[in-house]
Amino acid sequence: MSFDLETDATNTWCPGCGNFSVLRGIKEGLGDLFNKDYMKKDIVISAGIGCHAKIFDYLDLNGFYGLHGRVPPVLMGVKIANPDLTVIGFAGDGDILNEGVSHLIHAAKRNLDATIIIHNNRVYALTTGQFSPTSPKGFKGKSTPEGSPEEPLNPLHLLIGSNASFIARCYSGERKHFKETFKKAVRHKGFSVIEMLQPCVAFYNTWDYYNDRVVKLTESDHDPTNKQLAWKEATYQEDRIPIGIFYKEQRKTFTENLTGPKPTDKKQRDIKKLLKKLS
Amino acid sequence: MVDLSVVLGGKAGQGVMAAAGIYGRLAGRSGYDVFIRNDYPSLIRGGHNFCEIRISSDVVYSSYGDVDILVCLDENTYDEHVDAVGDGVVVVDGDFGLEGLEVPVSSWVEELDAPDIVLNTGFVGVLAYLTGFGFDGLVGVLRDVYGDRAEVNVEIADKAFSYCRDNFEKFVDFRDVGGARPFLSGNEAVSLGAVSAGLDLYIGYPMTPTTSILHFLGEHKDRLGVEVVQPENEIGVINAALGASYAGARSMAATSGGGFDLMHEGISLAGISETPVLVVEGQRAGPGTGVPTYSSQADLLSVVNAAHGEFPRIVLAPGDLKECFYLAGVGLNLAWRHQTPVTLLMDSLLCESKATCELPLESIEEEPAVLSETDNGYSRYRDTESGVSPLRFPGEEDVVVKNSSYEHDISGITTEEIDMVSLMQDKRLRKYKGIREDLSGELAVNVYGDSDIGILTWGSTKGSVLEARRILDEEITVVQPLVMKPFPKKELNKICSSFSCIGSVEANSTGQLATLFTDKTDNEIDEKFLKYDMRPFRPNQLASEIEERCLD
Repeated sequence: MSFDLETDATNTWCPGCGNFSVLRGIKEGLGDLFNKDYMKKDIVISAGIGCHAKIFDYLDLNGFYGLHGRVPPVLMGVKIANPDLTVIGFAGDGDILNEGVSHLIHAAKRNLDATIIIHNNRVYALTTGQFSPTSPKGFKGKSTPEGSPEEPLNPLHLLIGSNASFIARCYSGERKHFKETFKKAVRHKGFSVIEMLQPCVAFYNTWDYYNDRVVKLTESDHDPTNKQLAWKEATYQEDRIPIGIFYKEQRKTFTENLTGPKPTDKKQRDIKKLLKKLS
Repeated sequence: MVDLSVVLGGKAGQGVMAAAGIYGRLAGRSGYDVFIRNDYPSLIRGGHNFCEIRISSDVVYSSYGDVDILVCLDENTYDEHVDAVGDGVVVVDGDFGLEGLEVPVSSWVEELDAPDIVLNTGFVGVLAYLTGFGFDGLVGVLRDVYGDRAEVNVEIADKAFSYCRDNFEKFVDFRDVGGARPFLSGNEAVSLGAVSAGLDLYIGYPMTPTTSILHFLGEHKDRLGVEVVQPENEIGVINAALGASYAGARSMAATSGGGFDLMHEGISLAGISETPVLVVEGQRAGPGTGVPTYSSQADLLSVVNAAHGEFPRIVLAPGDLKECFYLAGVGLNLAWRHQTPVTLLMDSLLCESKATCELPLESIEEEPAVLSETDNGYSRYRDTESGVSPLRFPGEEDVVVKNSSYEHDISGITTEEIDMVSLMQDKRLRKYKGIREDLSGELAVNVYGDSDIGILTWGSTKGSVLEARRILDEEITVVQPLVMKPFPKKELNKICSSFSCIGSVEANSTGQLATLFTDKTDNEIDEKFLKYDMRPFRPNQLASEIEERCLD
């Protein structure tokens, strides 16, 4: 059966934006999951602020449209409140690698059972074209007309170092590959992140650049349990940018490690007895 | 009537506060009113910590600066406080070579081959004897507090008792008069109030003076039915609290001024997304990092105006333990009733002082959220007369629940439409009508007395003012607003219109309550009594200043 995830929001992405294939891949991927063992009512999405975040309005799903960079803590709160929910976050490179970078690192460290898509267009787009944490050195944006003075951050290296338990990269030009990777990320119990290489036609059009360089990792040529190898493969090379699952491991999730009463539990509250103890 | 002031001091790491706590519980169990103020610098070992302990057969509102009994766990305590001891006694260790009741506590610690820390229990034994409490009572408290580790403490207390019996007269005779009462801090009272109103999740980042909420709920989470989580920073705290509330868990966070500054964006988010949350702000001496372990009331104007944009907010300011419990419960319920952020404004003195108190347990119960009855066509932000839209939660059948930080339409989809933006802003601000109704009358302002001299005060400072009121020969009326936002103009105009003189007493350097009061009501403040040396107003001194400036 097909699932209608349309809303009546007007789509305001630029024609040719890499976000369209994210939206379509998510819809198709969720459709597949709903046909199997996931229910629409149990999905909760969150988004930061930026072009990526407009996806929130285009998906008829439960969610909390949060603040710039704050997707991970919002999802953490949702997950603590009700661990049965499946949480998916949408973030931008400027959003979660600048403003919210501490939250990303800590969510990975905790192994929060969440899936985060980092829409990495390597530029600040909705604020009309400044360099972002992933822009190449020398990037000529409106705030750096002579070129950005900084080396870019590799988000996947950051995530490997932060102990994320599922680390992948996809590309807007490879929608089916994204859909399949997204489903695996959602099914992964733990912190799963997909860096989505996503061209911005207005401020940093990288379609041709990626089309010439993106290669798919296959299971025969990459062992996703090997961290050293994951680090090596996740490096952007001049002539080869691999996409696929670089690393995954199974370990207990954040909410599984919590020891207190779950908010959804029936509660025994024994204030009187405690006050006796305090007398 | 018996009324006693004790100062017990030593180095950080000697268990000064633990000792005062044991003694306070003993006095509370024996049926007396107890108030303890902790005074400690921001360090872990060394320095000078002391506790002001006041015990009375009457009601106690605060501590005094004078000392009847000084207990010195180190020599420095003697130097710091001996001048404040009038006709009282000084208890010192036999090794110090100082004048006073010399007790060889440190040699007993050696003799018993006990850990150094039990020195503090030895001194509690001395103090308990000198003030007439029974040995068995003390042993009971030691066993309850130390459990498996009680034995060595009991041994040293026993030595102290026998030694004092053989060598000293009692200083005062507090006998056990029965009627044990709980002995707790403001932070603990707040925690229990929130739990009574259905708290599911406490989420906090450590910051003095609210850290002990994190400790207390962490220790008792199973008994109280609360999950406790410590995230990476205060921005993580507030956003996680909102995520949890959105998904149906009642959440609370606590911090101090600096952490609350970081939370502003989240408070604003709670406002526009109409997400319930209760935040405790325990004020300490600022600005910046300020003086971390000392009290102040200088965040009032910042907190009532916190965060950008215009949205309904509630700020409640308790002044004693009962109010801490009650307003925390009311605050959590109101956050959910009106789906908006509520701040409980406290201060170090209120957060961390301990006192005996019967909490009004029956006054707070969890109020169920307003839930939507329609199963089809649920709209998260449906326009209603009260401004409050019925709630549903993710995971429930047949609904899509979208909260948003952007201005949104009734379904939670982003909007920039002129009419919709106005409609939503009006809808949210309309909640103030219900909020004002809920926070009117006696709940909004406490009044003590009936005279034409009004003294306005708030928060922990109320304790000193009520003590000063006792001392004064002439009657004054103490007026304490409990609600700072929306400010109770109507009530205060009614109460204050007949005063011939209005003074305000607060622990800051600019008179922030006075500013709010002058700004919002039709009255002026005649005399400001301000103190910003981080120590509480001393009742005697305050009384004479009020007399001089308001009563001639």
